[in-house]
Order: sequence, then C-alpha cells, then structure tokens
Amino acid sequence: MSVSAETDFTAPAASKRRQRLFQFGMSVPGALATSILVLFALGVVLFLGFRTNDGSLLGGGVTFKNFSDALSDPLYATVILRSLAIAGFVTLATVATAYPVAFYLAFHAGRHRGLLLFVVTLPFWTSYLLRVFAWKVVLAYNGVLNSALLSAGITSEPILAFLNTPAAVVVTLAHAYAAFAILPIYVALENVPRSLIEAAEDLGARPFTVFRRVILPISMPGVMGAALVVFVPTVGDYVTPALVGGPSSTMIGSMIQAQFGKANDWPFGAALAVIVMLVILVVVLIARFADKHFGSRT
Amino acid sequence: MQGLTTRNVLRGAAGLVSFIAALASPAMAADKLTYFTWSGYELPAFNKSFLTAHPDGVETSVFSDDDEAFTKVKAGFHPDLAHPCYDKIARWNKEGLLQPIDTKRIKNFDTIFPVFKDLPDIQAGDGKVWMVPWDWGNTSILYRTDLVKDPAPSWTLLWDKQYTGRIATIDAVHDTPVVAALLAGVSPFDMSPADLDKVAAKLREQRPLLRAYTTDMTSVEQSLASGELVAAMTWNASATTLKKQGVKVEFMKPKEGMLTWACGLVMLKDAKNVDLAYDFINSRLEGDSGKELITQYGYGSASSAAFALVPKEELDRLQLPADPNIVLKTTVFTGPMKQNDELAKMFEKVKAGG
Amino acid sequence: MSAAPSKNATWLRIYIVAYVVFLYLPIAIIPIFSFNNSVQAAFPLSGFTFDWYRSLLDNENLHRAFETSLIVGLTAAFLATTIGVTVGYMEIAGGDRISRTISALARLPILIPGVIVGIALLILVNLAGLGPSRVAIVLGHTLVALPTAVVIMRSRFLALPKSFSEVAMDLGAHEWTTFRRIILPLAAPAIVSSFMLSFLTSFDEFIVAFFLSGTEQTLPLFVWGQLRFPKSLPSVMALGSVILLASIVIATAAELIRRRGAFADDLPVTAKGNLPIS
Repeated sequence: MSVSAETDFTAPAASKRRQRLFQFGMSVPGALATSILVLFALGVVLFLGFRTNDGSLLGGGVTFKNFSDALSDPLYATVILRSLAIAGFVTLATVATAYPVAFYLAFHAGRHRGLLLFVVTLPFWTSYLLRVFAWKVVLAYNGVLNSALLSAGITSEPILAFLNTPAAVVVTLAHAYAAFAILPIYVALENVPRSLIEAAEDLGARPFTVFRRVILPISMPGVMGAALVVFVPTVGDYVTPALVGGPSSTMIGSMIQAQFGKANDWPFGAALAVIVMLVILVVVLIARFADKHFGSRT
Repeated sequence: MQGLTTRNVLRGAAGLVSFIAALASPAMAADKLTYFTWSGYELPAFNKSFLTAHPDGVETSVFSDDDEAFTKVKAGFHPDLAHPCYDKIARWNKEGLLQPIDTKRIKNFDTIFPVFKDLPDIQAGDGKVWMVPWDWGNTSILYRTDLVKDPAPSWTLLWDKQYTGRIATIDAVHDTPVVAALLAGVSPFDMSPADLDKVAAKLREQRPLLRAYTTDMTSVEQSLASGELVAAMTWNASATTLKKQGVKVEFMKPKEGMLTWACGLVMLKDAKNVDLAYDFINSRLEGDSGKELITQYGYGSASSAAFALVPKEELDRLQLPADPNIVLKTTVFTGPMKQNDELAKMFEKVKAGG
Repeated sequence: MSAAPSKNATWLRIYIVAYVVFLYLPIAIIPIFSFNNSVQAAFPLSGFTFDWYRSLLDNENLHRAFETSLIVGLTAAFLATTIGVTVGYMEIAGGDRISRTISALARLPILIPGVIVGIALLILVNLAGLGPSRVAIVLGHTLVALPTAVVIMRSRFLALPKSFSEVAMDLGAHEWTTFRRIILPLAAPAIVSSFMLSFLTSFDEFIVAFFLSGTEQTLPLFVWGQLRFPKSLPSVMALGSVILLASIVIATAAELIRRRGAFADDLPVTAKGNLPIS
C-alpha cells in the first residue's frame, strides 16, 4: 500500500506537504507510546538497578552492589533456578498437551475448526486472577477436591499437601496458560504445505514418519512461539505462588514484588528485574537459534 | 461512508477524547477524606459522629500490614490520614511523610491513657503530636486446646517440630522477628549485625515448620477452627472471635511475654483535607468509638472514657484490664526498632528460603 | 489433504474432549459454587440460592471498583486501539525502518512479565509526579493492551488488498483521504474487535494494576482484597461468575465482528483478485 512512484512524481508541492503531515501525524502516537512507555520506562529500570538505596526515587550514587548481591547470594540463585524450573515444567506441560489439540484443529476439525479454536482459546480472555483463585478453591484443605474425595470415600481425611506446594503452582500455572499455547502451534500447523505431506505419503511414509519428519519440523517455529508466550509470563509470575504456593514456592517475581513492597529496596528490585529480562532474552535467542537450526520454512 | 469527512472525524475524536479525559480525571469533585488503615478498621461504627456531619465523607483504603502501607505511601500514594503503629512512627517521620497534629484541636486528647499519650516518639513539641493513639492490643499464640496437649507457656510452641505444617505466624516485621529475637536472647529494639544473624538463624529454624506467613487473620481463624492449623500467632481479636464461636482455643501467656502494640492516626504531610481530618480524629476519640472497638474486636481503646462505657463483666470476659499499665507489666511493648529496615529485608529473604 | 486414519482421529477426539473438560472444569467451579447455599466451597452442595448475587447489588465498594474498571478499560482501549491503528498502518503502508521498529517495540511488552511492566511504570509515574492513581493504571493498561491492538490491526492492514488504496491514489486522492474513506471503513470491524479485546485485557488485568493503584481500585483489585475474607468467598464467586460471563460475551462478540470484517473484502468486484485497471 505504499504510495506509488507516479503519484509522488506528479503531485504538487502542497499535497506533498499534506502527505508528509499525514505521515508525521500517524507516526506520533506510536512513537510517543513506544519511546516513553517502553524504551524510557525500561531504561529507567536499568538505570535504577545501578543505584544505591537511599530511599529517594532514583537512589543515590552508582553501584554494582545490587547486581553482585543478586548474582552471588545463593538465595537468589535458588529462587531464579526454581522459577526457571517451574516455568520450564509449565511450558513443557502446556506445549506438549496443546500440540495434539492444535494438530486436531489443523488436520481433523474441518467445518468445526473455527468454533473449536474459539472454545479452546476463550479461557485466554478470562481473568487470570479468577483462574488462579479457582484452583485455590479446588485444592484447599476444605475445598472442592478434598471434599469430593471425602464424600466419594476415597480418602478419610483431607489431604494437606494439595495446596501451598510448588506442585500446586505448576498445575495452576499450566492450566492458566494452556490457552496461550494453542494458537501459535495451530497457525504453524496450518501453514504446513499440504503438498509436502502428500508427497511424503506418496513416497510410502507411514503416518508417524510423516509427522516426525515433515509436520513436526515445519511446525517448530509455532512450537517455539507457544513456548515463549507461556514461559515469559510464567517465569515472572508472583500471584500464583502467593495464592497457592506457600512459603517454599517463592519465585523471582515474588522477590521483585517484595523489593517494591515490604523489603523496600527499589534499586535491588530493579536489578532483579534486569536479570530476569536478560534470562528471557537468552531463552528467546536460544529459541530463535533452535528455530533456524532445525529448519523453518517461513 | 458519507459522514466520515475530515472535519467530522476530528470532531468525533476530540469529543471522545474530552469525554474520556473528563471521566478519567480523578474524582476531585467531592472533597472526601482519604483514610488508609488496617483491614477491619474501616467500620463506620468507629466514627459515627463524623459520618453524621459528613455523610459519605470518607474514602477508606485498607492495608494488611503497616510496612506495606509505608511502602505504598513512599511509592506515591497520598492519603490524608493513615493508621500505622507506634514502632513505625520514627521511620515514617524520618522519610518526612507526616505533619504534626495540634492536640489543642483534639477535644478528648486528655482522655487518652498517659502511658500512650506520653510515648516519646510521638511528641512533636509545642503541644503537637505525630500520632494520636487510638487502639492497643496483644499478640500471642492462639492454639487449639484439644489438639495441643498442655503446651509449655512459651513462644517455643511455634518452633515445635511435632506440629510441622500446622503452625502459622504473622507476616509482619514487628511480630514474628521480634519473637524470634526474644527467643534468641537479643533485644529486638537495638541489634548488632551479630544479633541480626542470630535472629535470622532462629527464623530459618522455624520456616520448614510453617504452613504460612500471613496477615490474613480471618483465614487463620478459619484454619484453627477446622483443625488445619493447631497453633498460630494472632492478635487478641482472633481469640475473642473464635471463643464466641465456641471453638476450644486458648490465647497463651508465654513466659517470655506477649507482645503489646499501640497504633494510632497520623496526618500525612500533604494532606488535602486537614479540617476533615481533625473532625475524623475527634470523632474517633469519642468514648463511643472506643467502646465499639472493645466490644467488637476485644482490642484495647487508647481512651479511658471508652473503657468507662464498657461493663466490667464484659472486660473480664475479654480478659482486658481497664488499665493498660497492668498489661504492660508482663508484656513486651513493641516500640521503635532501630534496625527495622535491615530486619525487614532479612525477613523477606528468610521467608523466600535464604 | 489426506488425514491420518480414522482410528487416530478417534483417540485424538477423546483427548480433545478430555482437554476441554480439564480446561473448563476449574473455571466452572466458580459459577457452580456461586449458587451454593454455603460459605465454604466444598462438596456436597447445600442447596440453591441467589443470595450471593443479591449481596453484590448492595456493595458500595464493588460498584466503585466496577466503575473504575469500566472507565480505565474504555480509556485504555481507546488509547491502545488508536495507537495500534496508527502503528499498524504506518508499518504496512509506509514500511520504512522507523515504522517497523516502532511496531516491533509496540509488540515488545508481550515478552515482559507483568511484574516488570508494573515496576517500570510505577517508577515512571512517580517521575512524572502522578504517583499511583487511576491515570497511572490507564497508562499501564494501554501498554499491556498495545501488543494485542497492534497485532490485530497490522494483520488486518496486511490482508487488505493493495489495489484499493492504489486505485484511490491513482485517481488523485491524498493519503489522508484514502485512509479516512477507504482504509478505515474497511478496517472498521478489526478496529472494533481490537477495541473490545483491549478493553477486556484491561478489565481482567491484575498484576500491573496492583502496582499502580491509588485510592481507586479496579475490579480485580477488589476481588484480591476480598480474598482475605473467607466469609465473603461465595459473593466473590458470584462476582467472578459475572466477570467470566462478561468476558465470554465480549470475546465472542469481538470474534464475530472480526470474522464479518475479514469476509467484507470479498466484494463481487474484487472477489477474483485485483481490479482489471491496476
């Protein structure tokens, strides 16, 4: 939709000015929003990470202590690793369970595809807090699961260990972000050229081989996209650990929130945030590398 | 589409923007007093006369812990009045968050028990105070007498391994770490780095035994009632509530001493509605208000006039003496802690596992 | 396209059904217990009641929170959609590097966990002197909804046949006129869809609002505050059911509108591709 060369060439000066004005005007909102809300805001966080905590908004002099503390203290290493592990499990579970659904949608759903796609992605648009809260109610000591087990006679006493454990966090997060994973995989599977599948089948490949050597590799970008879109919010989450996780499930998001809350050390929180963003960047780069390496056609 | 001329589009956009801007601007119209307080303290019964004079005149925001309140205020939230506890006054003051309150404008200021009226940190000189004391109470262990057999009267119950997973403690700097300090044999109010380490070690010892660190007292009450918890650190209002419900609980008198706290109203430095604020404080210091506090929650009122209004049998039932001095003889009063900030940071770390 | 043999398809179908059930079951708990005549959310059920829904009607704080969520959502949706339209258009129509960079940056917030968006904006609004407030939440939600808006708008602009605007320009129309009278009407369903989904994103959003709220709470913040009172559990369920229903209705409507818009391109004249003129 770019302006064709002829129009440019023959337009009088006034209308060229109008066009420039239009293009300038159209660029302003986006430029303002991204430069202030994205670049500047993130820049300030980066800046604050290098400041000392003297109680003022932007801190005192420059220091590397925040970063060195965060990286050297075994607690933060544990919490970061725990967050990566939980996010990793959640991503794996979510993507693995979403793939068959996307596969069905792309290859078997036929007429009902639109409806089914809508049904499985609908939870994406519901309130995250409500989804986590629903699990808290389900897993509670005198909650839905325990009372169901009790009345069915399967257990004689409520099980303490459903709630306030890392396992509860994994289950809740996997459920909360399940809907996120389906769409990217579905889109990638949709774009697998049917001709390739037919060719493989014509050459005598059995269905599983077709899947393994044609469909799966080509759909990898979608799988990576899904993994990313689940991993990112999960790794920084603090609501789920707070509601269903208990003391042993503290994740890095909770620690960042605590620095801006009771621990009252904004610069340190900013440093933790920068570290988390770097971790995410590394994961994104790995995903892209794997994507290129394992062959994508897009 | 005919109507979509440039002029019309611009007019429409301008209209929409101004409409939304008008809606989105803060509700400045009604001059409401903003009051930032502990969850549960916003009951209209506590300031009846204020609400009669100014119906719908107060907008309350609640917090679950006054350190959370402190950080929120520091993060740029500006209420008119807030309700921290005595041990935090020095800290709030150091940050320059408060303005002094003129006691001459407080009608019933002299009905406040001297032990609270004369607290050092609240004196601002010249007949002014930083905080008007309003409430006081105790922190101790609330435990199920049928599930915990004859415990030794000591805070060590919260460190007892046989009840692993069925203990809860308060997620606040001036409760759990103070108790840990008492058990570690150091003074919570002035700690050296070595002392801090001892407290940290004590806290770390406790962590694997806990079901939760929480300020959610009603949840704790429910869990004690259902038996999910057998013992928890609570404030005395929880004891009152559960006993009313007929649950077999006892509020322990540990040999190291219960904790006694005193809290009150402070005025923020850039408060917009100063006159409304004074009206509110006055309304809170009426005997009626304190009486509500005593009978509803079992907490102590800082006003002796309030105690005069409550029958003695009621006070005995609540185990609340009419004179806080009696209580303070055997309890540990939570005053200002010099290393509050370091303690807070350390506590957050221990809670997370470090 | 030859599908896998029907035996596989049956297993897959069973899996899909189980998956959907697992997906919706916890969410379904909320409406179920909102009608349950008991303070605890536990089996067995104790009888049907509308009481909890009735209690929502009296709750002043709830009404205030709802109003705040509505205002914040509408404003954030308006801002996000406007920015999304301009950014999407400039990227597809202009295609220059700056526009593409802006578009990429506008979609970046998806890769930033909510807690970091929250703290970044908290610092920002303090620098700006605003502090936590309703305006702060509007800014935060605009940022959170922006990637959605940009993605929807740019894919719509991408799908618009180039021929439309080229014909208009060949006939002497300026870019603004073309945009106003051809592109915008054609993109209108996507704009409406983007607005509704941005609104929904803001309406349901909790993490960023948590950092940026002042005296006025949004609905999710109100729910969070209520979670500490076990006695109010059932009314929270009732409120949650209402919120869920609203989200489903809005998301469905947005989807339907988007679909109608996507098919609007198939005018009889252009059904087979470009105009004979170009």
